[in-house]
Amino acid sequence: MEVDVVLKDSFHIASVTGRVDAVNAGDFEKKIKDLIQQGAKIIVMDMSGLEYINSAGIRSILLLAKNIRSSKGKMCFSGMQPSVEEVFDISGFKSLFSIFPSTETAFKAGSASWR
Amino acid sequence: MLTLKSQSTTEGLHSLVEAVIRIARSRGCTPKSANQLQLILEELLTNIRLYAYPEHPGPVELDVYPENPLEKNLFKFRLRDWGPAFDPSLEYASHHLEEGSLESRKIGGLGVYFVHSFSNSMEYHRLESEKGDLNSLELSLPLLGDGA
Repeated sequence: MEVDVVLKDSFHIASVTGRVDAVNAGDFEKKIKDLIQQGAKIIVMDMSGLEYINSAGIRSILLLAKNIRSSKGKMCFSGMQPSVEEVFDISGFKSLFSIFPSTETAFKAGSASWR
Repeated sequence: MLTLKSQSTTEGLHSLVEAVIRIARSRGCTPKSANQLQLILEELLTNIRLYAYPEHPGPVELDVYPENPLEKNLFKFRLRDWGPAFDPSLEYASHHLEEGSLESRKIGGLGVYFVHSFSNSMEYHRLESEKGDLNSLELSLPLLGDGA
């Protein structure tokens, strides 16, 4: 699992690649939590390189989303592969978060419209 | 019946998952079903590692049932551990999903819910054996889930 962060305007784009599972969910959580603690308010989680996520990863995302919400920030997700989208769907995340086909569509929608 | 045996270490269980996925693929498992099988196995085996053997690794056995010509679209296996009794078929965390907002949404409890969601059937027994009482969980899931 790797997380690469790029700042574009006021958006932090965090590109997650590989797998997020019970072995590395803690590392994933720490990397994004550090970003939030450094002041990131609007995060686009680019999931196009994420091949696999299980309940440990889903738990981390929920914790991170609660974390950024409590600091008046927002997080959305983009570019999911079908296998990851299925896990989001079954977790009920589609009604909790804004999910876009690509980072570009997330920008165009604008963070004001995100859930 | 093919029996795979491992210790409940992270590495041992990872190899077990890989071996089962390989068998499923050799029977024509689609990528979608392989992902669901991996999710089911990882959730169950992580539970065994953390709760059946919290202090020291212990034995885990996985029986893969032979292909049934009458149920070609079904992959069936049985998982056994010698830890304290735990029946995942009774745990069902769908109430987590009823929470409407992010703030009220509970953390955790989704692992067993995934197992329920992706499997066709689940049957638990607490059994006696020469090595002590064991948890036996039999599961089946579709091999030929559509899509990617």
